[in-house]
Amino acid sequence: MINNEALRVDIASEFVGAKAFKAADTATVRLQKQVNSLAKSYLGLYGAQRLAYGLVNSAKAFAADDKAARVLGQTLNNLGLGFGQNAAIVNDYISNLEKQTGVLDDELRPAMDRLLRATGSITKSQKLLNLALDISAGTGKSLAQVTQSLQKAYLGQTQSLGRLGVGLSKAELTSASFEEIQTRLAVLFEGQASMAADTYIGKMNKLTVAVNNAKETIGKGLFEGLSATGGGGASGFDTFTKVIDVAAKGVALLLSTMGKTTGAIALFAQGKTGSATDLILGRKPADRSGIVPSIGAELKKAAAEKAAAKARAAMVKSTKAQTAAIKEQTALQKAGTLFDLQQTQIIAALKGEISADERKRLELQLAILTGNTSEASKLAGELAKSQGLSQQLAAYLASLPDAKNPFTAWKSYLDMIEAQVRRITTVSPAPITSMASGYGVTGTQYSLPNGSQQVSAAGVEFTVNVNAGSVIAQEGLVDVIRDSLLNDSLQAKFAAIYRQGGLGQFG
Amino acid sequence: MPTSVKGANDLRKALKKFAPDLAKETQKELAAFLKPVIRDARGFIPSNEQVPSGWLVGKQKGKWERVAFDSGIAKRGIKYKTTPSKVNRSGFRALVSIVNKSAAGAIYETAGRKSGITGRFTPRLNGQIVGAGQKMQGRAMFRAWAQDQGKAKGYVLQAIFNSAKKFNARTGVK
Repeated sequence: MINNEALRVDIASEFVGAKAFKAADTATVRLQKQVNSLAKSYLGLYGAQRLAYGLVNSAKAFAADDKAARVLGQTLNNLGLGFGQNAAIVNDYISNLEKQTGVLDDELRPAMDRLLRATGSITKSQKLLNLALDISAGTGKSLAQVTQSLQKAYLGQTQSLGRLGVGLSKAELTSASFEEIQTRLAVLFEGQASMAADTYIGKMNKLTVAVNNAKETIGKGLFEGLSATGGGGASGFDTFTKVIDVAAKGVALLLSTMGKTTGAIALFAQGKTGSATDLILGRKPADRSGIVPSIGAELKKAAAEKAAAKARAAMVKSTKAQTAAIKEQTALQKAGTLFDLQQTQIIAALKGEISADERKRLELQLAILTGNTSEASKLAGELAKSQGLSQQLAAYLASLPDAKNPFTAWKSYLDMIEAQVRRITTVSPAPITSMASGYGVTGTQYSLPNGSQQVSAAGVEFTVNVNAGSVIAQEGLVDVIRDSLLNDSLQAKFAAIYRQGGLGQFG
Repeated sequence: MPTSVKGANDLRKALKKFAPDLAKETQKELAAFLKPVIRDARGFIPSNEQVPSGWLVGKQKGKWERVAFDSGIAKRGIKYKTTPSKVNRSGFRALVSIVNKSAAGAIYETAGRKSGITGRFTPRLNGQIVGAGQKMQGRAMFRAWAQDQGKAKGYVLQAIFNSAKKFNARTGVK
C-alpha cells in the first residue's frame, strides 16, 4: 500500500500540539481532582492518627527525659552531692546549656552524668562538659564520644583523646597532665560551641530543642491528666492504671459471660439442661453415667494400665523396627560404598593410558558391576580371543631363530678401504711431461709446445709458448683460445669434453 | 524539513474573513512561486512509451489496475496545496505543500530508492533519483524540489510574512 501522504514536500507548517499532549493534560487534570477529593476524605482520618501518634510520642519523650533526670539525680546522691539545691542547679544548668547550644538534654544529661562519676565535682564536670561541647562542635564527633574520651583522660587513659584528632601528639598526651591537656584543648577549641550555635544549623538545632521541649511538656501534661483521672497526687497515676486494669477485667468478664450465655442457650436447645446449668454456674460437669464411683475408678485404672501396656508394646515394636532399619541402612551404605569405590576406581583407570587388553578387562569388570550382562558376555569373548591371539604370538616369537647381525659384512669393506688409503699415501707422483698426463688421462698424449718450460717442480708456475700467430694483447690471446676451443668442440676433441666437464675455464 | 510558522493558519482564516482580496493576492503569489516547481516535476514524468509496456493502463487487471501507469494522470497528480492538512502525530499541520497524489506517479517517484535499482522493473524506469535524505528522494517531484534548491520555499515564506504585514497594517495591529 502506497502512502501518498508521505509523498509530500511540506513548505510551511504550524505546530498545534500533539494529541498525546492534550490527552496527558486532560488526564493530569482529572488525576489532580481525584487526588484533591481523596486528600480531603483522608485528611480527617490521617489527622486523628497523627494526633494519637503525637500524643504517644510526647508521652515517650517526657518519660525518657524524666528518666534521664532521675538517673542524674541518683548519681548526685550516690556521689554525696545531692544535698541542698545541687540537683536543681544541675538541671537548670543543663536546661540553659540546651537552649544556648542547641544540643538536646537527652545527650547533655548522660554526658554530665558520666563526667560527674569521673570527677566527683559539679564544677569540674560543668567545665569539662563545656569543653566537650566545644570539642564536639570543632571536630564533628558526637558529644557522647567526646565526653567518654575526656572521662577516660581524666582517669589517666589519654589514648581515646588522641583518637578524636584534637591536634595533640601522642608524646604530649602521654607526658602532660590532664590539667595541661585541658588548658591546651580549651585554647584549641575556644568558642566553637557558641559559634556553631549561631550558624543556621545551630538555629535549626535550637528549633529542634524547642520542639522537643514542647513534646515533653505535652507529654507531662498528658501524664498529669491521666494521673488526675486517677484522683491526682503521687498515687493518681497508679490509681488510673488500676482503674484501667479493672475496666479490662470487666470487659473480659463481659465477653466471657456472653460466650457462656450463647453456649447455654445452645445446650438448652439440645435438651441438655444439666450441662447448661453447669456451664452457667461454672461447675464441673456432673457424672451422669450411673456407675458406682469405686467401680468406675477401678475401670479407669484398668483402662489406664491397658493403655500403658499398649503404649509400651508399641514403643518396643517401634524400637525394634528402628534398630532393624538402622542395620539395614548400615549394610546398604557399606555395600553401596564398596560398589561405588570399585566403580570409581575402574572409571579412573579407564581414563588413563592403558593397553587395549587392559581396557577390555576393565570394561568387562565395569559391565559386571553395573549388571550389563550382554556387554559383559561380549567383552568376555573378546578378551578370551585376545588372550588366545597373544599366546599364539608369543609361541611364534619363541620359535623364531636368532636374527643375523646386518653389519657383519661391513668389516671387510672397511678393511679394504683402509688398505687402499694406505696404498695411495705411499705412491710418489711422476713428473708432469704433458698437460694430459697431469690430469691422469691415458691414451693420446700431447707434448708441451716447443720452448715451454716448467719453472718450479713444486710450484704451479708454467711458461707456455703458444704458436698463435700475431697476438698483441691478452684479450687477443683469449679470443684465439676461445676460437680454438670452439673449433675443438665442433670437431669433438677431448679438450672440448673437459671444457664441458667444467675443467677448462678462461678469463 | 518544513519551516514552522506560528499562527499561519489563523492568519489564513483571518485573511479569508476580513481581507478576501489580500487572501486572493497571497494565493496568487504562492501559486506563482510553486508552479515552476510543479512544471519541472511534471517534466520528469516519462511518456507512456518510456515505461515498461506491461505497466500501462489497459495491461493491468484486477487489483493492479489501480496502480497502472498513464503519463497524463501521473503528471496531473503532481500539484501544490495551500489548504491546511490534518494534524500529524507529531502535532504539525502542513500549510503549503507540494504533493504527488497519483499511485503510478508515486511508484515512479519512489521505486528503488530504498532497495536499490534491482530486479526487472526499476532498472527499466530510467529517471534519476535525486534528493537529500531517503524520504526526500525521488525521480519527479523530489527531483524538481532538489533542483530548486530552496528558492521556492524562501519565496513562499516571504509571501506569508508579507501578507501578515499587510493584514496587520490594514487592521492596525502592531
